[in-house]
Amino acid sequence: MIQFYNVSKIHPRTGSAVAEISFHLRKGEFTFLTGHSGAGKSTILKLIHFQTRPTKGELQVLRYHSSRTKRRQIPNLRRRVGFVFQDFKLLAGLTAAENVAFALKVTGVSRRETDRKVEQLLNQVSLSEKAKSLSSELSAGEKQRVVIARALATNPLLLLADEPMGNLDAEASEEIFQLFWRLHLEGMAVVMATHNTELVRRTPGVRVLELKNGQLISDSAVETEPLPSVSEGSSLESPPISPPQKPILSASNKNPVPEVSTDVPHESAPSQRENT
Amino acid sequence: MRHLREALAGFRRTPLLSTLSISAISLSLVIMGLFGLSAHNIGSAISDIERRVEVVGYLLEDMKPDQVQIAQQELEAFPEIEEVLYVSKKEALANAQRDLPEFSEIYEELRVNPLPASLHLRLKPGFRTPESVQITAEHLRGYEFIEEVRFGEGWVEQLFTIRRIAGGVSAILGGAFAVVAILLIFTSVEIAILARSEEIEIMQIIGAKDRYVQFPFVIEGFIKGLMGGLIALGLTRLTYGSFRYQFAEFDNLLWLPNNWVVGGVLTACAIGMISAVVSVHRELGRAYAT
Repeated sequence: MIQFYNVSKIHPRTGSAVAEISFHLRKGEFTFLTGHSGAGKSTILKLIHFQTRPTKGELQVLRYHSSRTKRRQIPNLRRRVGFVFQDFKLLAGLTAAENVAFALKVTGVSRRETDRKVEQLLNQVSLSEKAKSLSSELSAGEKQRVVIARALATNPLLLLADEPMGNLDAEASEEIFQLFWRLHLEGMAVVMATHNTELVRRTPGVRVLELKNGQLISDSAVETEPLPSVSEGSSLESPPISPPQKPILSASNKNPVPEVSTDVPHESAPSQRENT
Repeated sequence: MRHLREALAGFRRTPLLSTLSISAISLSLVIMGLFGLSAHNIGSAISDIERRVEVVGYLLEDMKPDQVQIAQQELEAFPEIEEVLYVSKKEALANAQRDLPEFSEIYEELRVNPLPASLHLRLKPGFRTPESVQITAEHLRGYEFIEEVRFGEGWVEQLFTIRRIAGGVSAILGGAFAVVAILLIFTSVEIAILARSEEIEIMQIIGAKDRYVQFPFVIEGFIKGLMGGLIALGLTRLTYGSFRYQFAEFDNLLWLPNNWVVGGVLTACAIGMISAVVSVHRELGRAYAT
């Protein structure tokens, strides 16, 4: 689903954001990207979402290759990859339902279909009763639910979440994490950037990629499977993944929803948000 | 249709900014309109004077009528000459009596008409320059039945200088006003788009195609240009009407030519659209940073 081959991203002014990163994420996998602020978590998410391109190396998301995908193809990729922000990015003048409908309208869904789908999506995130509330009237947790519903509007195969609980209190954080987990159990691949190590520790069986100063310092999958290597004459058309292995966590996984500990230190406030 | 609906929704979402934007466009175009009105009237006044530029050749007493007719045809064939008018001795006297009534009694007492017949050569627009006047005068001097040629040499040169200065000042001021108007329109459209940059960002993150994002803004830019242009046209017309009403000396003030009016409004629409294309393109580029 996602393959990174020696990917580096160097910003002209601030220097290297990530260096020589390689990993492979499978369909339906739940992955934590961990590390301190500035470690490169957001850069990885932006690279996956094609908001930025690698300076070196190559990456593939679904069937889109970083070196070959044209700008006009990127919207098609983004419809298959939902994005959840720490700071929500909701349109303040619109209601919860209108914010979700906005995503459907943008992607060309008919008005009648939009109404039906909005109802279904808000149900999915347990926010039907707030459908007509303006986004400015919603709590932070509710806002994040709307963002998730909006991200799900285009039927994505993958959800990217950049510190999604960063602005939430412990209770709301737990609700939102459980929502992500439920989506994962239904088959959705999730890549979540967080520096909440306690949450990562308490969530069993997930893939954890730990970053430090732009480098991948550990990958929980490495102990059980080798990382694909480009140097072995591989090509992106036929990634060198062998042998096929059992997914670390799949839709059939019956793991119970892990709880987000209430004594977990809160994730970063907006002012502390990483800019990588 | 969807793009038009979205464009109109844009006005509803940011009513204050849209109003300010249209006002800024109108104001800049009113200034352009008033300048155009002044330039058009000054230019027209100078052209009126220029139309009077003529080269007059006075004929000898003994010339034959068929000689004059041939000369008339020959002179009319020159590219710079618009019209050759023959004024007989009798007509010259009648003109003098009409133009100089204080001498009418003297003319009546005359036994012999002292005024010569003459050929009056009018020049085509574009040839009313000192050089062309000189050349025409030389053509006329070439005929043996021409006794004297007059064309007000100094006056033509002064007129030409005034025309050149007026043209230069119009071009510089007009250019400056046009640049200011373009910048003002561009800035106001850009500000309106910047105010909705988050909306653009969200659309892109959701997976909107570039043209989906761009088209409503371009239509919005067009509508702003059109509304600004029409309001400016109304205000300029109002100012023009008030001037004519308030001051009798401005009674023969000319209104702008139709092609200027249509051109002005269409240019405003085009600038509105181009500004939107450039501004949205820049916003869109942010989500595809390399």
